[in-house]
Amino acid sequence: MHGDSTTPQTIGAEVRRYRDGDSGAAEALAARAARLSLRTAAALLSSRDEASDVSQDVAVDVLRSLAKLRDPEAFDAWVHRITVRHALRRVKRRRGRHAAETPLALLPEAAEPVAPGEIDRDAVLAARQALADAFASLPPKQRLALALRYVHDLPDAEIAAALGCRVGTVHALLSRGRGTLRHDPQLAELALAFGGN
Amino acid sequence: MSGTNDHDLLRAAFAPARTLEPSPVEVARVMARVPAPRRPRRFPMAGNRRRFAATALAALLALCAGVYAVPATRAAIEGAADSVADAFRGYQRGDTKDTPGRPLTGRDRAPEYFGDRYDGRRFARQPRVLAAAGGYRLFAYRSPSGSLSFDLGDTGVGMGFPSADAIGPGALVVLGAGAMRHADAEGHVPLFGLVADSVSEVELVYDAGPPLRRAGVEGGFVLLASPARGPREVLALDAAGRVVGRQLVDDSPHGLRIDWGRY
Repeated sequence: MHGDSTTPQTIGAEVRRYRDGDSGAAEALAARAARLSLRTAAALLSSRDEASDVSQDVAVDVLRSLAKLRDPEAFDAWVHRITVRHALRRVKRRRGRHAAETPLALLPEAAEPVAPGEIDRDAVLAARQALADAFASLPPKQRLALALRYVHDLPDAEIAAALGCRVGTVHALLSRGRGTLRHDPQLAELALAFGGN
Repeated sequence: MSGTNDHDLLRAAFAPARTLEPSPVEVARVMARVPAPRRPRRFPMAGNRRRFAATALAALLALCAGVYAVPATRAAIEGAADSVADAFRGYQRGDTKDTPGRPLTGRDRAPEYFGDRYDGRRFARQPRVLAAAGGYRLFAYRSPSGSLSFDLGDTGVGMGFPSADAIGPGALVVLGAGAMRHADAEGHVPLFGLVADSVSEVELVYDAGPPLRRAGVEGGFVLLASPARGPREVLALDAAGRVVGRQLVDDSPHGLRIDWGRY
């Protein structure tokens, strides 16, 4: 997780404490599951409220099904897997209703530090808006693959585990997603501001 | 876009999502929907012994639930500075200056017995409306004996407390839905309760679907609950959005148990 020094071993220990009846561990795991899920859902959905609903449902499912998790160190992967299921269900349910809305996570937010120091801030904000427009046109699985990569920095194998597909499929989803975005004229122009050629 | 700058641009574009955090209220909602973790049984038990242990555990849980519903968030709840008892202590002495709610108006359709005479005086003294929703009202009044009474609208139920302190030490008391099976035309059931002065919002958490929120509460609340969605717990929040009280809706310390399946 971004800015998170928690290791899988620490999380695994938390899961074991939960299984031993530690209610403090339950709350810590609920918060972690909600955080991971909220970030993924926000990258897909247009309102924080909706992302919040998804993340809470996910956290509840995660805690209720924790007994089925064989490897406590795989807690995050378990959360991502359940998040994908809930997020896809939500996208399907609202398809057509909010199709024109901009994903919340991509909206420009003027007062927020968003980029590494060397990247031009105006370009970042402009890129977010352009990306929001282009992102909305991608199929849900491509969007999820991109979100898991660029929100959580997950490697292909972990994205594959979350999406329930092969690593090669993830590679294809990411490539196609980036390819579609690359062909967006506005994004292509903005990419130059990031030092592209 | 191409090469490394693809990744930089996408990572920068997704930056807001990377910093999102669930609020304490959101986490509390999750905790309200999951059972407390159970310590695993280390040794198998024989049938009679297992049944005895299960009964004892159930009795212990039932005993503790009203006072200590969700230990995981106890620290947050203990931050509550005041209580329901504090809110009504002055009212019990006849001082309405700082009492929550407002005096009755002609349009409030108070129960008829409010106007009865007792020892030459009205039965319901200094009656007030603490909350209203969908035609239901939560009334407060002092009875001739000096006790504090709360009338759950026109659902046929009133609850009396010999003193403000008897209401309870917490920032939230769910009084109940009334003993009569009372639902409005859309099947909503009015759920009544009292809150401390510090509480500005209450939230009813369901087993399924989004919670029902009511902001701007002052001393009491009426929530129109949907029985079909499994009303589970009421959270009390202060102005900063912190959870300062919580109570399972079917576990009132005052003895009202709600069988939502009957509505």
